[in-house]
Amino acid sequence: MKVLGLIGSVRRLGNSEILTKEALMGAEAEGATVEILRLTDYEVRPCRGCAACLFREGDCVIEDDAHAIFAAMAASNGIILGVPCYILEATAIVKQLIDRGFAPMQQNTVRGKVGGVIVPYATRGWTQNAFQQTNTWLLSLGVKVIDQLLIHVQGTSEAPLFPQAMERARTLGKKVAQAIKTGDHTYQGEAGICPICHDRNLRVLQDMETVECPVCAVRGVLQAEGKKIKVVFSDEAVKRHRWSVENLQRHFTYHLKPSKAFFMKTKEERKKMAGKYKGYLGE
Amino acid sequence: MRYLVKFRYYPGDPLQEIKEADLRDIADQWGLQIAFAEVRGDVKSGREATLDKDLEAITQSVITIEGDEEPSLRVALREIISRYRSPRTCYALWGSNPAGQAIAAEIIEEQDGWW
Repeated sequence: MKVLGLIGSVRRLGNSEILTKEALMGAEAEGATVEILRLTDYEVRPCRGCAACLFREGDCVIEDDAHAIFAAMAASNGIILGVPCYILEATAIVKQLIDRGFAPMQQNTVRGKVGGVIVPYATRGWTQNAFQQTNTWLLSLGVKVIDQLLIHVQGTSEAPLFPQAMERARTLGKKVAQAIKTGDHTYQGEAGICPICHDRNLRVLQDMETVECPVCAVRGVLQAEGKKIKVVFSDEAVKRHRWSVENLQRHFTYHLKPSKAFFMKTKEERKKMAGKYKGYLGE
Repeated sequence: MRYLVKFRYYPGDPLQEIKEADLRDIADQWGLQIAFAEVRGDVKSGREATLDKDLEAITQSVITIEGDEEPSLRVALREIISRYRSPRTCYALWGSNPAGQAIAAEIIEEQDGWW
């Protein structure tokens, strides 16, 4: 049983690293072998939208370290991601890996791993989108996230001053290892709103009747219960969440791949029309 | 002015099963012609290869709406979108005529925009 820690912070021995290491220690106590990668030590270039992974049904053609990161994830049974939230969201390396995850997302090489997420943050009220990033990355790859923590801690390396925070991280690591051992991947974190990612963000759609989880695309309606709001999702709507193998497969098969023939057919026309913009305000 | 709109829904796109009878009700109510066609692509062992295939040839459900009155077309399109949601891809209106496509694009944005 192998659990991989991923650090999304540039800071060495900052709170993300300390908390993730504490979680790995918890996993180790449950019998896991552990490994850690500092994501920002690797060269991860941006996705260039070439669609080679899609149209050639193969690996990403960019030759950089993203391949090694995804390979390490594929070789593990569990993944614990520790990433700081500075301004509302997780740091940029996570977004970079969301986009670069397009090939492994199609190949399902990481699917079925157990995941845990730890997000240290400084100020209450400045974390609204932190789990959107981590969930988009991990759920798109098919990782079963069983717990996610927001840890309130500010200065670098201050986390050990808060024993409760350290205990939560250690417990998360244990839970990840136990979930691998038992095969029970039930979500054990704080109950949220979305039945898939368990985040509390909702998007109000244009019809002003429907709400949708912006990450999972599960749609529901709001109901008033006295002064409280209740969000109701039908079973059918939950099944339509975007991250299932079937729904992702449909997306690739019917929304994306069929565009190739049109794209190839219009090559000369596109080239001619784009000529107007080539050289305008520089190359 | 003659308006022709085609909505191409791919597997998983409509929020519920598209039923010809429901479409006929909408058509009758608003004095439009509505046709429904199911295109079946090349599915082998449960999977369809859609690379290098014409967009019109892959599995899809195509609703075709025709009429001469813009207001009734608008209402019918709203009903269709509120029932099934709008089609998903930027090629989904292929086969519409320019007048129909312009109205459809407007209704899609109005009702199903920004998501």
